[in-house]
Amino acid sequence: MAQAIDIAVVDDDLMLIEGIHAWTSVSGELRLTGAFPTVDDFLGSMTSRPPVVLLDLMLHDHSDPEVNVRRLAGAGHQVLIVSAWAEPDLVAAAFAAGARGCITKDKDLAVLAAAVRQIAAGETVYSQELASALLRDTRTTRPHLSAREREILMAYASGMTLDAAARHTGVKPGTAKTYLERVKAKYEDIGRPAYTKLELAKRVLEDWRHG
Amino acid sequence: MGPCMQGITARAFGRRSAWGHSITSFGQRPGVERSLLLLLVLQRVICAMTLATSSVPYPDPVVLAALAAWNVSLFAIAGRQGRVSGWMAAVDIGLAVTLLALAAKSGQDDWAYRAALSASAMAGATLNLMPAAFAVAALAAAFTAETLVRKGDHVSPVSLAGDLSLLLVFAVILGSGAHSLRRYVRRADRAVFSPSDLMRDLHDTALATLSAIASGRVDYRTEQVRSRAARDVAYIRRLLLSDSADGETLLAARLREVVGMAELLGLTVHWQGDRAPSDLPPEAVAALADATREALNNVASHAGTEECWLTLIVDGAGVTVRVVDRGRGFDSASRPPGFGLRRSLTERMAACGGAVRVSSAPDTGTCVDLTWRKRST
Repeated sequence: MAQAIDIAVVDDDLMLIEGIHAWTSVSGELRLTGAFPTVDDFLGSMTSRPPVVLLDLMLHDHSDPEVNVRRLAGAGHQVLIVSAWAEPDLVAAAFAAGARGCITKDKDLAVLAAAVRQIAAGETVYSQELASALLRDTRTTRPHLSAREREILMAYASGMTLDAAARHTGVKPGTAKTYLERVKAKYEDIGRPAYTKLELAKRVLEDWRHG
Repeated sequence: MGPCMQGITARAFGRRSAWGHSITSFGQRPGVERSLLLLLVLQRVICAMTLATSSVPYPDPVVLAALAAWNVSLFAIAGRQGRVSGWMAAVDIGLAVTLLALAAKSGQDDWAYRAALSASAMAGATLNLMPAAFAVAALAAAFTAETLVRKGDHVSPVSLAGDLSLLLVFAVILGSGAHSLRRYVRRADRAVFSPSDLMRDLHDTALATLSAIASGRVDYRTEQVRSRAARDVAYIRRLLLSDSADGETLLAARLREVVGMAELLGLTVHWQGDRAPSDLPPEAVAALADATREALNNVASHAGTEECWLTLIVDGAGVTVRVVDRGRGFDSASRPPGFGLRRSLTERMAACGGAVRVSSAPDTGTCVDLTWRKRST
């Protein structure tokens, strides 16, 4: 078996944290190094922070999920959104801000582990939740997606795997993957400028408040 | 599911009639048809009273008796059935035409004309557009013929046109009134997902599961509880997706029923996607729902997985119900197209302007697209 992947959880849902903890103690695939109720608590923690972070979209401190993702990604973490309800605009914003994937909390922990493995390997997890959020993105800043890109996203959104999506849309799996990468690049492009202006201002404000 | 089930059953057992609205129209409510009936009775009573108290001579006693007998039995039968059937409207029109023929001989057409007006009103209120137009045309032709025979060269075109247009107006007013009333009720029927249904469903699903766990009676870690909770999650997700303020459409109601059955077979169905459109023809809804049921049954019995995704994709051209699983799959090259769905269902989909597309390969799951397209005529 491959070496266990270290993960941290930024979530205030005790049930999820306990569930992951109980599961990791028997499975050995993941190792939970810490759970934090807010991004501030996580970034302020003295312990060595693992690269992969599971982040809930809605935290009790009412922080903006987009800002949370940006701060974590900016600090060099790979972020996987784990949420009970994947509100499309929020998920799309988090994706543009640099999140590597999104899965809902009803998935079993084996699905979670598979997603973490992919993310730790530097990949993006095009889960059904992420694909359908991108298709339902209603924000004015959303990028324009081509018909082919939407078709592949729709295949993912309707539960298909990469192979099935390629087969159903009549393209090679490699081509399907290229379409997904293009979607990601488009989202990264719209995410970028915001980081330099708006986000910087928010960060300064945040640091000033907590400093 | 109460009201929606009733609607579906009523439709499923309804017969198609070339004449009447009453049998075929989904959402027909006894209340609406009875109100229309009352309106028609009232119109006739007022007509008869006006004539009886005026200086216009009574028709032949035999004719008068026949008229009274017909009207009494007409409304007695219609009252019992809750609606006017096509044949009743036809007989009524026939009677009015007969009266007009008699009036051509006797020279007195006041009663006959009022009978024609009443028949026209009834035709407008109870028949579909084409038969109603036909009925009004027949009455108008009979009245014109009668006037020409009776008055010969002294016909005043203006007064004839006035009388004829009144015939039309009676049918149009009652027809459009009845139409909008039925449409209103049909719309109300679509909004079958009432808050009380919601409460009951939640009570039977998520609330029951959570209560059992909260009471400490069951171990939430067991597979049984886990799969039940997963189904509850899928159910609540569907609720969040369906805009319940606007009510549930017929297709959504049928699919909800089908998904409920599949869940009884132990399948977890992730229902997602767009809102079901409300303007689908009933035969398309029935074909889509039945084909979906079959696709889900196939997942349950052949795919070797307990999980599948049901996605509704709606665009301007139509609607697609997509059923996806990540199970065993099969080699689509070695099977005839449409494998997995009975030929009869594929044909039925095709008959209502739809298509079935199945794609699969060993170990990569199966995808079934059930598509219905608006006819571009």
